[in-house]
Amino acid sequence: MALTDFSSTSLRDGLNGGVWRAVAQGLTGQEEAKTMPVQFDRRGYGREVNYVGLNWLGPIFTGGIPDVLVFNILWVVLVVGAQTVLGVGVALMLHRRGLHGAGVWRSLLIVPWAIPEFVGALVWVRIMDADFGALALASANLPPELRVTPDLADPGTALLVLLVAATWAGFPLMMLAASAGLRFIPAEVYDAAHMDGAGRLDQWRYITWPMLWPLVLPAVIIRAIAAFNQFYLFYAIQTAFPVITFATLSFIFFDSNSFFGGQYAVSAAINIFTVAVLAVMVAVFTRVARSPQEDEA
Amino acid sequence: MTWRKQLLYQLGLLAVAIFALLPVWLLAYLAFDGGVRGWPTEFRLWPQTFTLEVFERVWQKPAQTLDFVGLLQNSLGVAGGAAWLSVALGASMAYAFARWRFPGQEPGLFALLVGAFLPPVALMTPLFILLSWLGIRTTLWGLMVVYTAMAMPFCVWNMRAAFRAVPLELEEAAWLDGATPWVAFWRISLPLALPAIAVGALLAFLIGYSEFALGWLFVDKPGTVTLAMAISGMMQNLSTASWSSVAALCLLMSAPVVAVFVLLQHTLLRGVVPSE
Repeated sequence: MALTDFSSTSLRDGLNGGVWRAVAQGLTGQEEAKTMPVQFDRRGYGREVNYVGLNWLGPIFTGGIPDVLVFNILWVVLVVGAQTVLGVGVALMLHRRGLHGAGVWRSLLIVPWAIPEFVGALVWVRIMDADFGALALASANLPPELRVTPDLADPGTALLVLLVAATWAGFPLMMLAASAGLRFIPAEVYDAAHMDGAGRLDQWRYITWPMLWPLVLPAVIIRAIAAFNQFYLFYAIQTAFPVITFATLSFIFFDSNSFFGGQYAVSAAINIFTVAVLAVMVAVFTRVARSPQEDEA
Repeated sequence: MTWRKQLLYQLGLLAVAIFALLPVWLLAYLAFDGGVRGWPTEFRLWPQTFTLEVFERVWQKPAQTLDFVGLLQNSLGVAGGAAWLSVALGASMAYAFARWRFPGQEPGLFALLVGAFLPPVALMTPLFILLSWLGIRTTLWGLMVVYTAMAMPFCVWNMRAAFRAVPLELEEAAWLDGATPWVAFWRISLPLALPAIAVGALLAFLIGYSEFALGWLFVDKPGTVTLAMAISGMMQNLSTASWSSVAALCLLMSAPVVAVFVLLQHTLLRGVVPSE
């Protein structure tokens, strides 16, 4: 069934107000909340809209899904961390006075951003493939211990491969955001700090980072949300459970061709859960990340 | 900078560049080697037989209907429109969030992000209904509006951060000289925040330039296909469309973005806070 097959009964009834009717009936006790998966047949066709209460959120918390939550949060931390370190690091290098060819380097380094995400993901799969990947082929004539044949069935290796691909796609935005942010720090501040005898590390700690952080924060937040919802990469690089994101999980339940497919309600429940988790994550993050200057203002 | 430091920095940047360009190198290899069908099974640094034939093919007939120029026009229109709209709409909103106090300021800023919480695919059906109801679903305008909405949260947050970084004293000095708040915004804060605005515009442009899933869902006329949609369409049946064509089209697609960036980066990333 196409997403927009409006002749499907449940969708049509839903659009005509069936969802609200069912919810109202459920909330006022006219209809009992149905329990659990049984009434959804595999294809999800031809059913009336039924109020199922909060029952669908149950399995999310019990049936193995906490693993996914843990992985999903770990994934966000690792990806955003790697993208930020690399992006800000490169921006700082390019910002140094007297560096030759900064413009050329910057133009070369934004290229990954201009390649569509799904193409990038597939190319990385082809680079990392154990048999015909570019790395495997390039190292085929080396002694066995130097050959690179990533085993994607191993969760640790899979995570590393995914991380490399995600960092590649995401660091140019961080680099540009940081480059733009660095322009706001007047050179006199550094001159003054230099005269007062501040070393490189002190300058970074007391000047660059506090002034730069509010300016890269929006990019960090947007990338964190994008990483939480990362889909194409996990879709392209098929990895073992629990190395998977909620967005991918939601797709697996949704996709009528997959083993679990056609369970739209589970998919929807996962999405609702995603919004809740992200709301908490962003709220906590913006509070923790607030810089001293923001509080003064 | 001593020459030793210079060398160290250049080597560091070279390492990052190799990492960044490795997949691009492979795409270029595939696109320029006419002999490759599918994915190569042996490793070569350079194409065995150098040819531009693949480029010619995808230039003339990348998709069933439009030629490359037609697709590019659609893509540039949608992506450029989205970039322009998100900056024009976002800058005023970001300025208000940065400079003024009003009820609901914090919740409003947070609420902006909520729209970005779900992957766009999860919003397909509601968007389909909404755009059909507005009567713009099958047009490029519809796509432009959707991509603008996707880019706005970042644009507003990023520009707000930049406007806050512009010292208020500069604007106050302008007011003392008799400038209206509008003139102070237009002449002082806006130019100073230009780098952050450019980053926002580039993000919005690239969302519109590389999105394809919503595009394929909404569009029903062959004339309104974009470049990203053509590439994803090709990748759906990789058995017939070879990797070479995908690679060539992908390189052709990213070329304008890089070219524009090269041309504009000195203007856009110039030192903005007067330091002399």
